Amino acid sequence: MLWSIGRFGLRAAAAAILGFSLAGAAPPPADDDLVDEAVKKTGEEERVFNPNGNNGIVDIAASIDQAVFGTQGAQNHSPQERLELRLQKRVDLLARDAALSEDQKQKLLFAGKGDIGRFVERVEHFKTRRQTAKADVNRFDWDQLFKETQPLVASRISLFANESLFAKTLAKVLSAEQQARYEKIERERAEFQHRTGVQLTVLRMSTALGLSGDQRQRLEQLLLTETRPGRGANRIYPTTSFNIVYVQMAHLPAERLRPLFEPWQWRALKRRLENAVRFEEGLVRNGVVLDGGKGPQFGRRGQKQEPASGLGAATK
Amino acid sequence: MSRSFFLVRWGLLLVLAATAVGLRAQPPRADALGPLRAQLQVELQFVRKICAPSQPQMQAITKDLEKCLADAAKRTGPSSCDLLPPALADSVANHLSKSDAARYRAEVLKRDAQEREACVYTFVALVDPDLGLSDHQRKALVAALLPVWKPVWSQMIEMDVRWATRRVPPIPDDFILPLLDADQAQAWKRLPKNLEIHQVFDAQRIGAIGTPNPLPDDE
Repeated sequence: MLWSIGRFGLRAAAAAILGFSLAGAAPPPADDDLVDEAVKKTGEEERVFNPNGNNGIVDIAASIDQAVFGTQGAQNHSPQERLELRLQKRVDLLARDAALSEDQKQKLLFAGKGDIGRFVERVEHFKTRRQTAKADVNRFDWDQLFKETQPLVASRISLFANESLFAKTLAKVLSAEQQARYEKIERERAEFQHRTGVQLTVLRMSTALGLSGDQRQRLEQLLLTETRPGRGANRIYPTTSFNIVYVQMAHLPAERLRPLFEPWQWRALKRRLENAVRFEEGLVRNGVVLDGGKGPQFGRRGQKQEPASGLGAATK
Repeated sequence: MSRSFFLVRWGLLLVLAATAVGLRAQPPRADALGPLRAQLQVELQFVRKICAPSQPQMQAITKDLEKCLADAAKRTGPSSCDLLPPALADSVANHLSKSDAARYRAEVLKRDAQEREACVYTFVALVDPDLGLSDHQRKALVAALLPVWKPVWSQMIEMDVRWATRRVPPIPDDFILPLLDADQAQAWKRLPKNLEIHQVFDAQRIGAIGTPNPLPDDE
């Protein structure tokens, strides 16, 4: 009987240890947040590439496609088709905003398809250079491939911007009147998005810091006057609008923000804004620029006064 | 005899192991509130700013809020987007003086109004590129939606901002279509809608940036 109790005691201890370790093994759920849409997707997609590693062999071409073009919509459309759909949406919105004629629409579609063709060709060329042989899935250097595809990802994001055929054609085909109309509509849209970004920023700060109605109003007013709208080569989602305002808020001089808050709120806010720099990197990567031409830009701003975040050294 | 002794012994072992799992996995109070604990911090910070309650008041408020949120987590009390926030406000106001309670409730109304406005703006900004709205239409939509906006739609919008669900609230066509032209109306009908209209309050909607620090910051 004693022997039996002794064995029971040992088993009990083992069971307790097992129980503790099992419970401890469950990690808390990873916290995600208001991360720039395009950045978030790219981050997720980059880490799932190569589902085609059948029998331990990497399909490098498929992995490159996933890294460069992403996975969204990949089940129904080829990479080229997805870019063409993006172009069509862009032209449809433009046609509406600038009252384009059918001829102007066709010219823009033609130019955009040219950009797409050139880009797809670049990707194919990259694949040919990179795909010398099929690789063993366990020895394949994913980080290296990820690094090498980054310039292509950046080109995809800004496919119809800056020096693209699309952008040049757009500048050429629009009459002065259409150009003015289009500019006005884009500016109004950017201002609405900016107001949305300000509202979202105030909402987030309100829950984080317990702001009163008066504080929210003063913060909203300050952000509306002291921050600028942003524009990107791609669609600006509300998440991006938030990031645009939040990053600018982190760069505001501390003396502009501090008077709005209680000392305990200000300490909490300062700590929070220190993390805003990670959002700035995402905005820069996605080609988001601040409206207005003059003044600081994301990723390159001089610091004359102590910013609210204390991030003087971190900004370039 | 030996068979029943064997069964009892293994039964005890299982109970012991399960208890160990329970103790390890549940630090005091954390599990009863689950993800709703973030909302406890939101409410405590808010009342701290608005009324600066005494320490005994704060303790009583905390206790009541925890009970309310624990009941919501277990679904034995109000847990929906419509019912939980008013229940939380009652849990706070019950421990304040009459004048403080009135001030607190007035601030809650202002806070709700700001959340509603932010979410309406976000909704319009979200659908704008698909519908190709004019500036006049955007402003008209904001004005039309503010008075009819539902609390659950705010949660849908906040979750969409956080997780990019790409589903918009199922706002009745009656509120939207009169402000759109025929092409825009078709585009609105094609947009994927979030049809889960009976949602429990989800504290994750505020994200990490909107979540207060868990400990008092009095240093």
